[in-house]
Amino acid sequence: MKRPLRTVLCVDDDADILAVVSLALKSLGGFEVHLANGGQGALARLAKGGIDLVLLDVMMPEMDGHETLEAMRSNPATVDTPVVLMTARVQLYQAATPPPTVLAVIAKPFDPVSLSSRLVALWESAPQ
Amino acid sequence: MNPEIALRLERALRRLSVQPNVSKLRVHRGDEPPLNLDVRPARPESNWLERDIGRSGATLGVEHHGAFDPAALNDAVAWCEDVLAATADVRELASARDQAARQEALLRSVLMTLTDGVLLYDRDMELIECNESAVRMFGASRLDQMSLREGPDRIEHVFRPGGGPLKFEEWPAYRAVKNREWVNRELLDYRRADGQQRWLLVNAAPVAAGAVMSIADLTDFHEARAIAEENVQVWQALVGALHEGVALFDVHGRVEELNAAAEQVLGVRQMDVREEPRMAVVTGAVDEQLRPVSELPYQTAKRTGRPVTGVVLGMKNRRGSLRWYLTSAVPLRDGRVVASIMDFTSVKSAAAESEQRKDEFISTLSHEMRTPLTSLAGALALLEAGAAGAVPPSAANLVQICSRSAARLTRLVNDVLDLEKIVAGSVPLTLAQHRVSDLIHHAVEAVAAASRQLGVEVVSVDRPVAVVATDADRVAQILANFLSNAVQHSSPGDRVELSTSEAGTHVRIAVRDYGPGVPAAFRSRLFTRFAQAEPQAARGGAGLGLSICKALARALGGDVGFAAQPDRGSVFWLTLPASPP
Repeated sequence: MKRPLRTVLCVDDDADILAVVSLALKSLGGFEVHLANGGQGALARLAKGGIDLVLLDVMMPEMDGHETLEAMRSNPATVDTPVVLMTARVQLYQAATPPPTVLAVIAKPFDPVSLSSRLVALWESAPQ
Repeated sequence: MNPEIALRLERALRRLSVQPNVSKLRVHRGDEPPLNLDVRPARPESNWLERDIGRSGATLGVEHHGAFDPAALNDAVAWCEDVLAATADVRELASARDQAARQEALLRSVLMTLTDGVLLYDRDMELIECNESAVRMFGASRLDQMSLREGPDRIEHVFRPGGGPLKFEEWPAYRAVKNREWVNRELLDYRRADGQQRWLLVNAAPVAAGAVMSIADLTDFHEARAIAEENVQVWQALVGALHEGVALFDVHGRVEELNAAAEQVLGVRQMDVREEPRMAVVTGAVDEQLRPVSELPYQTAKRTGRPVTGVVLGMKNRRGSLRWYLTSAVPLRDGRVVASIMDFTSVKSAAAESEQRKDEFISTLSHEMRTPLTSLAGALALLEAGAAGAVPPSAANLVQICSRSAARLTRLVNDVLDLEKIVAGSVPLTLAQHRVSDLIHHAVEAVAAASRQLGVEVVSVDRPVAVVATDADRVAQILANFLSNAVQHSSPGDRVELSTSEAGTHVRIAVRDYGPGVPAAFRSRLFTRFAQAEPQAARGGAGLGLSICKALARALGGDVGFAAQPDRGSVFWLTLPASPP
């Protein structure tokens, strides 16, 4: 039996999205939510540990989602941390298969009300 | 025999009748009853003597019983000859007079009906006769001045073209009378009393009595020709100055005229065709899909007798690069064809580029809108879900409005991006064999609830047997769009009908409604992006539905279209490639 999903790190350069996601996950999902407004901030927060799953926006200035993901995968501490990508350009992943180290790609705009249950389902299906 | 002649003959025979041995005289000619003169009783020994009367064809017979004066016989014959000759002259003269009168009447009636003016002059150059047309042309008083009797040394108001007034000896009739000259088609300039200039074409011929002159008024013809010549000049200048190529093809399809701009395209030179019409040299023309074109517009116009407009042709220029031309052709009544051709390669590529930029802009904009939309729709959804606590009832309605609008905006953005994907061919299609009847059945099912609510009956009017290889979900999407439009534009109690037919290698599914129909002004834009016949608020769509249908149908190897119905309502159709049975 897998332990339940508890802490989620949300990474997005858009403060409004962070606020919506944070509210959705906290109040409707009951998770512990941490926020980062870019790749650097995300890596810094991940280094502290205690993050179960990362909800990572793709399009970000400076360090984007892919670079962040690459950095995570090259660090033994975060190499297995499950990542869910969020993107407005979802068709990029429809044409090609999603990166193998990503649990899922969520298209923007998404339904925040069902976001928590989607993450839980993904967490349950993720390999240990 | 005429009594007067008989009397004169009797008189002529008098010298002979007094001869004592003559008992009877007879003048006899042809079938005419003879003139018999019994002078005295005959005797048994009487003899009969006959003499021809000169060349009159008559004979004089004498019954006598003894010698008589031969001079008297000769006198009688000579007299009779005179009498008969005189009567012949009278008769011939009378008949000649009759004939002359008849001919004159005929001539007069011919003269009266002629539109040309005819003037008859005697040898003294006096005008002795003219017809009605001459009077109409010149007026009676001016005609008087055209006689020498009036004495002017000039013909008033008549000029040599571009020269001075005409001298009397230059007047064609004068030349015909005095010089016995035939004057042929001489152009003269005449000023009417009202100041108007007329162009006269004059002939004159000498005749026994003097001269006959005929005059035709060519002014209208002359003016028409001048206008025509001027028009031709204007047109030549205009056509020559055009950037658009223009060519005139003769009835055999050869180039008869062309401007400089058309030279290159048609492969013939202006200076060559002016010597002799030539066939155009056009090879390798293609249509917009780069398929070879078997017939050029000027040939189509010639064959069908109808104008052909706006045909796009691709042709390679001398350097081998493909240029695009917009061509038209109009048949003339005489079997010739005027064709025009315009190089719009740069316009076409600019248009394509601008279209691409527009698409890119819309796409970028749509992507950019997704992020704020995510926050907006997300925040509203959380509010409605109570994630931020209970929303006061007074605000709940407003939140709903915001939420609905956000949802519509989201749909719009998704539609734009969908369309882009379909056009780009990046939408995966799942092709399989489907019965058309199944596709229709599912489409009807899908709108059943909504149509029932609006009181509109959606029916399939036939039982198609065709099978198509297609993506059922995409077909469902197209038909759902057609049907939902049809239902929305119907009134309660109306029917919406689905029917199928063969269309060559395709199957055609038609959705017919009996609503108000598509406004005429909007029809041509039906399948273009963001086209809406009515304000958006009225129906709620973004105007992308039909353009998505079109892109999908094309991706499936078919097409969509629209046909206005004469009474009411519309037909929207979808064609799909049929599978071989």
